[in-house]
Amino acid sequence: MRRDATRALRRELHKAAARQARLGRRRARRVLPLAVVVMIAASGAAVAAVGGSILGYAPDSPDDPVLTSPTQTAAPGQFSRLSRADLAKIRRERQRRAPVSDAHRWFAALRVPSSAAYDTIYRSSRGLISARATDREICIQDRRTEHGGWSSSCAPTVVARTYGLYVIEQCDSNAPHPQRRRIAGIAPNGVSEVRVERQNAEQASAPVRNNGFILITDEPIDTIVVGPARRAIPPITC
Amino acid sequence: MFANRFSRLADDALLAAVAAGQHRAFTEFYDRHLPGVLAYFRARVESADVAFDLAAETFASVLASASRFDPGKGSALGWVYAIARNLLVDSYRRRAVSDETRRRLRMQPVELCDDDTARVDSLAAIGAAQLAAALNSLPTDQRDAIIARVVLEHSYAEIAATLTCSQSVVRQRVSRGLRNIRCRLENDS
Repeated sequence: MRRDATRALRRELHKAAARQARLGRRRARRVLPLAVVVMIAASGAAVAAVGGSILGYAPDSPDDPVLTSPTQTAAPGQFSRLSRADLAKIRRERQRRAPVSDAHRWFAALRVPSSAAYDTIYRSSRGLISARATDREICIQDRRTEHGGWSSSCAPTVVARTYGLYVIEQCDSNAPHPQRRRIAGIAPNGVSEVRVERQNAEQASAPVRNNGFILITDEPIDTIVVGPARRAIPPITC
Repeated sequence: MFANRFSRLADDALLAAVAAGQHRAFTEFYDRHLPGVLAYFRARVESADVAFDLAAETFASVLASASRFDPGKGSALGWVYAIARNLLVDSYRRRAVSDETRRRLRMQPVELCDDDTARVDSLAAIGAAQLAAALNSLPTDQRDAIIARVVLEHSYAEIAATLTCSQSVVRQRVSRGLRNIRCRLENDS
């Protein structure tokens, strides 16, 4: 009978954990004697260093100023050392009081699935761009038509409204050269065209429709211009 | 015997036990958090098998770096979801789910059939239901504030205007509600 996948994963993790534990014990057995040797050597060096500094700073004559230390010495009973249990208790209490800072990660599960939450904003023969926007974040998905697949990217809403938001297809190591670069995304309101340049000379451009655009061009290019915003594009690497 | 012993431990104690070489503690940790992690991924990716792969890599990463977990810096639950989020972002960038840690730990790949994808979906639904139940257990004012702020992602100003109260009151309700949910989830687990 076939074991179900979650149980199979559980079994694999269990075996990996057991291997890790064995490895840890083996390392500890190897490291311990070495640590003892290092400690002995270090304590010898520390004694030599302290002795050297005491001798170095020792007053040569009764006229030399008296050495003082900035360290404050606490009187007996002024503080008490906390036990490990007390420290753990304080840590637990601090954690209990702290608000959950990563709540949006947990609550992703309660949101509608990402594919359903995205609205289509641009569709052409080259692909489809859909976006999901809140007051904090805008996410886009770019679905390619020529060889399937999709890419996704998110940015704070303020940034996307100012500079636009796009995904850049890096490279396809199996494709013939020169490589083609695909840039798809959204542009800020009022931008009617997106262009790419190489050494300040325009290489290609694409119209912006309903804030969306898809631009496909041959390499090499080094800059993308979306309205007033210019951004350098790193060279293609396969 | 082991299952009972570890099932009473909190998450951070379980991770400490894993780091100390008690490998059975990790099975308990996996059983405890698999539905939640699957629910997290299932809401973000389109197919159950991708969600399963991401969950597998997340737990492998948790296992590989359990010794680096520091409870002083935050909760174990937050740490696990931070790892999950990083893997998700990484998979978006690379357009592929990494299996680097699983290979490093010499774990065998797990193949999924149709029954498994259905099971992944049902486990994800359980994870989402646990969260929804914790949310429903809150007082109404805290629940409304959390739904408005965290689930629907409205701004504090909008929520304050809708609920006719000040922004600081909304912030306080969200903060208290989240703290209660976290206590509830940790106690349930």
